[in-house]
Amino acid sequence: MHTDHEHSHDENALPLFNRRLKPYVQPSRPEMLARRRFLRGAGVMMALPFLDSLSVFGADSTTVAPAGAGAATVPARPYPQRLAIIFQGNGVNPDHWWAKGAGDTMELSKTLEPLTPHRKKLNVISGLFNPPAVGVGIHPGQTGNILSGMPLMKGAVLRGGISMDQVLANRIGQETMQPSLILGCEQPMTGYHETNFSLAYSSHISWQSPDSPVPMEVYPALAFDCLFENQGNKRMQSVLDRVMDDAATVSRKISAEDNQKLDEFLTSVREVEKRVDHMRSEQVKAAANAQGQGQPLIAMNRPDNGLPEDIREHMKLMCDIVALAFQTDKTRLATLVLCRDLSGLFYPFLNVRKTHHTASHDDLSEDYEKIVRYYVGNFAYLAARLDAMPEGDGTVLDNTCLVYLSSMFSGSRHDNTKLPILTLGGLGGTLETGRTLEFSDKGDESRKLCSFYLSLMDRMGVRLPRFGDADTRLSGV
Amino acid sequence: MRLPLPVFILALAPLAQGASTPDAASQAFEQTFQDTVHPFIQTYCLSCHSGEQAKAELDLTAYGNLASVTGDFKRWNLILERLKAKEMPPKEAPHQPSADERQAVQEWIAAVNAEEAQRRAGDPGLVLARRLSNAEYDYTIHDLTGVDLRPTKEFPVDPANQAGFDNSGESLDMSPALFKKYYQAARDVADHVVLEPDGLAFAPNPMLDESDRDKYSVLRIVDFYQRQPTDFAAYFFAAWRFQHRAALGQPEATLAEIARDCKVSPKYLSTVWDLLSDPAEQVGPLAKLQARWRALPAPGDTDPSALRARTEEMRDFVVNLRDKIIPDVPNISAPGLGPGSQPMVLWKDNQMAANRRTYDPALLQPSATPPAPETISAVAETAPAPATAPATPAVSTTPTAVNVLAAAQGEGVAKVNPTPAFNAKLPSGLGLPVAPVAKTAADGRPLSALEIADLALAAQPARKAGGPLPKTPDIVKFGGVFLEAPVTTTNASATARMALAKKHAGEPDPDLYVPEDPAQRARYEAAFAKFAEVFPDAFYISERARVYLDPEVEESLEGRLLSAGLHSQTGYFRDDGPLYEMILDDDAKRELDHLWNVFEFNAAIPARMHVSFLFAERDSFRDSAFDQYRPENKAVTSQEMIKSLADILLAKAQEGRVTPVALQAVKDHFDRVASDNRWLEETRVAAEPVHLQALLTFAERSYRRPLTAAERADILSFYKQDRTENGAEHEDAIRDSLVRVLMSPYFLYHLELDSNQAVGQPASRSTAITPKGIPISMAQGGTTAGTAPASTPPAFAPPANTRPLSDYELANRLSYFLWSSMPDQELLAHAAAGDLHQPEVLLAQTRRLLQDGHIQNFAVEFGGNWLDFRRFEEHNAVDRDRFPAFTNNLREAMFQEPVHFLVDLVQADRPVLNLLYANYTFVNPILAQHYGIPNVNGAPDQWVRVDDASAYGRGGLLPMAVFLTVNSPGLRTSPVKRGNWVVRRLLGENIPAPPPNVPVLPADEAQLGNLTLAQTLARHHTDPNCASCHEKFDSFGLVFEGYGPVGEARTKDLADHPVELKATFPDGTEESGVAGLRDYIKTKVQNEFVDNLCRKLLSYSLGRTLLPSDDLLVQDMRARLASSDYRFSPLVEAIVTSPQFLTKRAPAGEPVRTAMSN
Repeated sequence: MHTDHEHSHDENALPLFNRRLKPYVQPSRPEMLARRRFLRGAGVMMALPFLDSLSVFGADSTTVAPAGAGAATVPARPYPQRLAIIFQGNGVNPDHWWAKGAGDTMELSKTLEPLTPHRKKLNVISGLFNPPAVGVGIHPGQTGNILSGMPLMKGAVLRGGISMDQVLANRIGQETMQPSLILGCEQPMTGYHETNFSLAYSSHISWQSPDSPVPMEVYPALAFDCLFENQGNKRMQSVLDRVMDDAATVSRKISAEDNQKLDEFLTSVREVEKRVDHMRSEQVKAAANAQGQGQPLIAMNRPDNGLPEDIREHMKLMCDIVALAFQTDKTRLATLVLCRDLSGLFYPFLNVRKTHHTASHDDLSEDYEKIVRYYVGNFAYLAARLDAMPEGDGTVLDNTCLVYLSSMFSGSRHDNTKLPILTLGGLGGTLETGRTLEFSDKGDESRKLCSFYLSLMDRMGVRLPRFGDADTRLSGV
Repeated sequence: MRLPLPVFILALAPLAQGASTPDAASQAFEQTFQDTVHPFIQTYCLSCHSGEQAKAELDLTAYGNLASVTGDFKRWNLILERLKAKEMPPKEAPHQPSADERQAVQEWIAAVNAEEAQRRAGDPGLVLARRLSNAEYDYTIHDLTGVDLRPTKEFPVDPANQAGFDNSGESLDMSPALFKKYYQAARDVADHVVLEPDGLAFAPNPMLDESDRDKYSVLRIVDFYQRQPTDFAAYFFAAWRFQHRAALGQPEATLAEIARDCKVSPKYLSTVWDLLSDPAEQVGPLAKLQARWRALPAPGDTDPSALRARTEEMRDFVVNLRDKIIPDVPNISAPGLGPGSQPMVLWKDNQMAANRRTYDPALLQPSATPPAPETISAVAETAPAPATAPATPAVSTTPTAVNVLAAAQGEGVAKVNPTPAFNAKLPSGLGLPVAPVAKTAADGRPLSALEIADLALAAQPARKAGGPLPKTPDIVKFGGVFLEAPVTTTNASATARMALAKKHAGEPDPDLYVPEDPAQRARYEAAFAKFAEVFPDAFYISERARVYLDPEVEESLEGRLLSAGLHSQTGYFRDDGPLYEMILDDDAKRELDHLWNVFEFNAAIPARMHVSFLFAERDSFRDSAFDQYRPENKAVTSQEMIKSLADILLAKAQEGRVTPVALQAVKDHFDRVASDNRWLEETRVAAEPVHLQALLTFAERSYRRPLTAAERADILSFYKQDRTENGAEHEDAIRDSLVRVLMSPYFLYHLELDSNQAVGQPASRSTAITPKGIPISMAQGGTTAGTAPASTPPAFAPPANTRPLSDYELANRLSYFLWSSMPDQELLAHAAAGDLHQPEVLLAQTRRLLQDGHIQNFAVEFGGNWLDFRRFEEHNAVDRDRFPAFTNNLREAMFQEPVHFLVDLVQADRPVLNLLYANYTFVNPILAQHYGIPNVNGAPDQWVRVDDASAYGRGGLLPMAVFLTVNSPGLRTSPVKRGNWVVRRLLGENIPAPPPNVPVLPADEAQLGNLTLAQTLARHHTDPNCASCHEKFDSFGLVFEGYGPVGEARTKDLADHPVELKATFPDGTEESGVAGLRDYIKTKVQNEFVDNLCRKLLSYSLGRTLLPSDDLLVQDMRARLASSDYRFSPLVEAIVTSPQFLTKRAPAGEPVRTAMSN
C-alpha cells in the first residue's frame, strides 16, 4: 500500500502534468458516468427511477440470485427490497392478540383473523420491547422513539434519535424518486402531555434528526401528487429554465475564457434537465410496457383535495398510495401512522362511540377488539394489494417487509414491556415467514426492538454496528 | 526522474502568434536563442524530451523560437531551476554540457524572464469567472441568512490550484453532479426561511414541521425574557449607587446613567428609586422595605459583598412577602367544558395575568396590636457573614425555594416542609463562599468603593439577571441558544406561588398585619397596593404546567415554555405585562411584540390552537351537532364556523347550570378565537407583497450588486408562475424563488460583468486606480537583470485590453479576499456611492475589513490552505488507542491554534516573521494540557496567549501540534513529511513528486528494530536517486524528532530510543532541534520564506496562479515588508492598490497585447 508512504506528500504534489495541460478542455465527468447521484430530501423529487430493472416494465433485467440472509456483501438484486412501517397507537386487545403454529396451519386469534389468507407470509412476533420507552411516562414517551430506541427529552426542546426508516432513507433512499414516504391518517399535535413530554412525540415516529421529525403528509391528494404529479420536478424545471436564462444573459457579456467556465454551468443545467425528461419518458414507457404485458398497473386516480370525510376511505387511500409507490419503485421506504398515539379518531361505522384513546383504556372490551381488528384489516388490505402485483416469480409483497407496530400492548395499563408486532412479506427472500416467534421468555438483552431493526437493516444491506440501544442482532428472527 | 511542470493555463496562444515584429531587445533574445539555447537543447535534451514518449511529458521540440518560449514561460522557469540545480541533464546522461554552456542558457532564460516581467508588469492576468468555493459558499450563506448552515458539508472537497488554494477558476469546476448538490443545498437553505409579517428571516433549524416552527419562536422569546434585568436586588444595588453617587465619586451621575452602568432598566430603576426614597411616612410592607433600605451601609462602611448580600435580602423580603398576597383565581367550568378545556384555562391565564400587579386584601391579617417592630440592624447582624453569603440566583429562585432558603437563614417566615423536589430547586450556591474580592488594583493602588462594589458584583458566582445560564451537563444547544433542560426561571411557576399564598392563608404572619381600625387599615391597604403595583408577582411567565390542577404536583412539570397550561393540546399564552410595562423601553417592546407576532404568524398559532381544541374535546363533542367541526376540516377556523360552534356551545352551556362568569368566559374565548384567526388571515394576505419585496432584497444581496429592472421583473414573474402554473402556495413559492435566486450564476459565480467601462483605455477612474507609486517602486525594487536598463524604468501603462473594475466588482474582490464572503452593507454603500476606487477610501475599507471578525475566515482559508491544515478537523489518521490524548476536542484545539495565531498577527499588524520566530502562541485549556502549559483553565473556548512559549517547546508555527500531527503517518513521526512541509509550504521550494515503487518504512516506530528513524532514513537514501531529493528536506524534518506523532514533546521515540534532534542541512550546516531550524532559516533562507509568503498571498488574493508579470509586484511587496519591520498590513495594501487587483482583462476576444509585439 502506498497510501501511507512517505512520498505521498499530499495531493498537490502529484505531477502537475497529470492534470490538465491544455488551456481549457471540457472536463470529463467520470462522476457523471459512475454511480448516479440523486437529490435527496423531502420536497425534492428528482431522481431516476429503478424502472429499467423492473420486469413489470418489460425491460431486461440481469438476473441475480437472491442473496441469502447474512450474506457478507449484498449483490445487486433483480427486484428492490421495500420496507413499510404501519403504526397504530394505544395498544391492542391483549386477550385477542395471539397466534399458534406455523405456515398454512397457523392458528390466528380473532383480532388477527383478517390475516388468514397471508399466513404463509406472516410472522407474529411477541415479546419484543423498546427499553428507553419503558418507565419514562406514558403515551408520548412510549411512542416518539419507537423507531429510534433513543431516550426522549421532556419539556420544550425536542430530542430523541433519528429513526430507523430515515437511517435507511439516508443510505438507500437516494436510489428512488422519494427517499421515503411518511404518511399519516391523523393530524400531528404539539403541546404537552401530563408526563411533560411534547405531543410531537405522540404524533411522529419518523425523525430525520434527533430534534426534528419528518413532516407527515396527511392529505392523500398531496401524497399522491408527490409521487405522480411530479410537483417537485415541475418546480425544479421552472428553476432550471430561469437559471438557464440567466446564464445565457451572462454569456453575452463575458470573455471567451469566462464563457468556457460558464459552459460547465450550462452543460450541468442541460444535463440535469435531460434527466428530468428522461424520467418522464421512462414513466410513460413503463406504463405502456405494463399494459403490453397484460399486467395492470394499479389504477388509481388522484384523490380529491382535502381530507376524506370517512376514515375508512382515508386509510384505504393511504394504503393504496404506499402500494403504488412500491410497485412503481417511487420509494422503497414508507411509514404510515394509521392513527397516532392519544388518537382522537372515531369509529361510528364499528358502532363504537368512544374515541380511539378513550376506548383503549377499556382495552379488554369488545369495542376495542373491533377497533384493533379494523386496523389489522387495513394491514391485510395493504398486503393483499402488494401480493396482487407480480414481480419475477413472486409478488411485490415477497420483496417487501410490512411491519405492524403499536406503542404498547395494553392500553388500560399503558404496558409496553412487550409490544405487538407483525411482519408480512419475505423481503426478497431474506426473511423467513409463516412463523410465530415468542421472545417473552428471553432475557431483556435478547428481546430489544432495536436488535430487530438491526436485523432488518442487515437484510436490506445496511449493516450498522449498533442502532438505538442495541448493538446485537435479534437472535432467531 | 520525472520533471514536474506547471499546468499550462489560460489562453497564451495569442501571445505566441503576436510576436511578429520583434524590437531590438527581442531580436537579441531571438538571436541568442538560435545561437546558443536551441543548439544546447538539441544536444543535451531532445534524446529524452521529444516526441510522443517525451520524458515528463515535456517535448522540447515544440520550442523553436523566442515566441514559443515566452508563450510558455512557466515551464521554462522550471527548466531553469533544474539546470541550476544541475539535475538536468541527469548525471548518467552520456553528454554533459560544460559549465559555460550551462551558464549561458541559464542567463538567457533569466534575462528573458526579467524582460517579460518588466514588459507586462501590472497585467491583471486572466481571472476567470468561477463558482464560489465550498468555503466561500458557506460563509456567504451565513452572511446572507444570518445563520451558519454550512450547506456544503457533504460536497466533494474543492480541488486546489497550483498555488495550493481552492479559490481560483483554474480548479473550480462545475458538473451535473455538483450542480444537483447545489440545488439540494439551495433547497435546504430555503427550508430555513421564516415568513414574518414584515419580511423574511432564516432560522437555525428547518421550518418544515410544526414542532420546528414552535421551537424556533419559543426559544427566541424565552431567550429574550431571560436577557431582561428582572432581579429586584440589582435595582436595590443600583439605587444604592445612586444614593451614594457623590461618595462613590460620581456626583454628577444621573439615575439613567447609573442604570446603564448597572445594566438595569432606567425606567424601572426610577420606579424603585421613587418608592425607596419617598419621604412620606410609610406603613406596612413599604415601611419595612424602606427601613431595610435605610439600613444599607454607606460606601466604605462595609465589605462590598456584604452590601450585595443585603440587597439580596431586600429582594428576598420582597419576593417572600409578595408571594403571600397573590390573589387566588379559581377554576371555572360550564356544561360540556370542564376546567381543563381551552376557554376555561385561558380565562384563568388571563385572570392571573391581569393580577400581576394587584394583591388580595382578604389575605391580610387584621389585629388590634401591631407586631413588634423589626430591628433592621439586627437583621443585618444575623445575616450570614459576607464570606458565606448565599448566592441566590434570582433566576432559579422559586418561591418555595425562597422560603426554604429564608428558613435556612433563620428568618422568621412561615415554615414549609420542603419536599425533595423543592430541595432540589434550592439555589446551588447556597452556603458556598463568595469569591474573595481584592481591595487593591493590580498596580497596588487602593480601589475606590465603587470599583470594589463592581468587583464584588463581578465575583458573584450567582447568575446575574440577564447573564448566561449556568452550564450544566444537561445543556442542550439548539439554534445557537443554550438552554438547560429543564429551563428554570424565577417567573416560571407563578401558579404555584398563587397556590402557596392560598395554602398559607390564615397562618399568623406579622408581614400581613393590618390594623383593625378601618381608617388605619385603609392606609395599610394603600401601602400593600403600592407595594404590589411596584413589585409584580412575576414580570413574565415563561413556563406553565397545567394551571387547573394541584400546583404542587404540577410543579415538577416545568419546561413547558410559554405554554398556556392546557392538557395534551397545542396552546400558548403570552403573559409578560409587567415586564412590558415596567422594564422595557420602546425598542425592546417592539422587539418583543415582533417575536410574538412572528410566532403566532409563522406557526399559525391561532388556527392550530383552535384545531387542537376540537381534537381535545372530541370525546365530549359526540353529539351529531358537532359533526362538521372535525379538525380535519380546513374550514373550521373560518369566521363562520368559529361563530356557529360558539353558538352551539353557548346554547348547551345555558341549558345546564352555568355561572355568568363562565358563560362570559366562553363567549369571550370565541370572540378572541375569531379575532385572532381573522388577524392571521388578514396578516397573511397583507404580508404577501411584503415578502415579495423582501425576496427582491434577498436577490440583490445574493447577487452582491443592484438588480436591473429586468431582473426584478423576472424574479417576480417566477414567483407568479410558480403559483399559477405549478400550484404552489405562497410559502412554497417564496421558497422556490429563493432556490431560483440561489441557483443563479449571479449568486453562484464570481462574475465580473461590468461592461460599462471603456475597453482598453484607462477610464476616468483609472487615474485613481493606476497607482503611480507602484511602477516606480517596482522599478526601484526590481533587479531587472538582463536587457532593460535600470536607469530608465518603463512608465507603467495598463496592458492593453484591460479595464478598471467597477466599484461593485472591487467591493466583491476585496471582501472575498479578506473575508471569503460577500461584501457587507458598508462596503456596498461605498460601491453605490462610487468612491470605493479612491485610494484613501479603499485603504480605509481594507483596514476596516482586516479588523472585522470575519478575518477569521481569512485565517482559515488562506492560512489553512497555505499551511495545509484546512481539513484537519476531519483528520482521522491518529490511532486513538495508542494516543488516547488525541480527542476530538484536542483535534479542534490543534486546528484553532494557527487560526488564533494568524488572526492576532493580522489584527495587531505584527511582523510576518513572527510566524517563524515568535516566542508566543495561543492555547486553550485542552491544548495547554497537551503542551504541558500550567494554569490555563476554563471552557474550551477560553483562548489565551502564552508568552515565553519556548519554555514549553512552542512558539510560532513550526512546533504547532497541528503541523506535527498532520505530517505524521499514525504510529510514527515522519521527518520526510515534516521536512517536506517546511521546505514546500513555508519556503516555497518546488519538490518533485516521488517516483513510484520506492521502499516503504515500517508503519510503527516500535518496529524499527535497533535503528532510529533517522538511521533508517539514512539507509533508505543510499540510493543516489532518492538522495538528490531527500537531502533537500529530510534535515528540516529530523529536527522535529523531539515531538511525537501527535505533536507531543518527547525524549524517546515509540521504540524507546532516545530521539536525535541533530540534522545536517543542505548546505552542510549542522543544527539541532526547532531552535536550530529557526537559526538556519534566519541566516540562510529567510528570503525564500518571505518571497513565498508574498507569492501565496498574492495568488490567493487574485484567485489565480501567478504570472511572470507579477514578479515586480512581488518584489514591491518584499520591499515594503523590509521597510516596515515586516508588518502584515503593507502586504495587503500593496495588493489591493496594485493594477492586478484593480483591473481586469477586457472581455473582447481580441488578441491580448503581448510582451514582444510592440
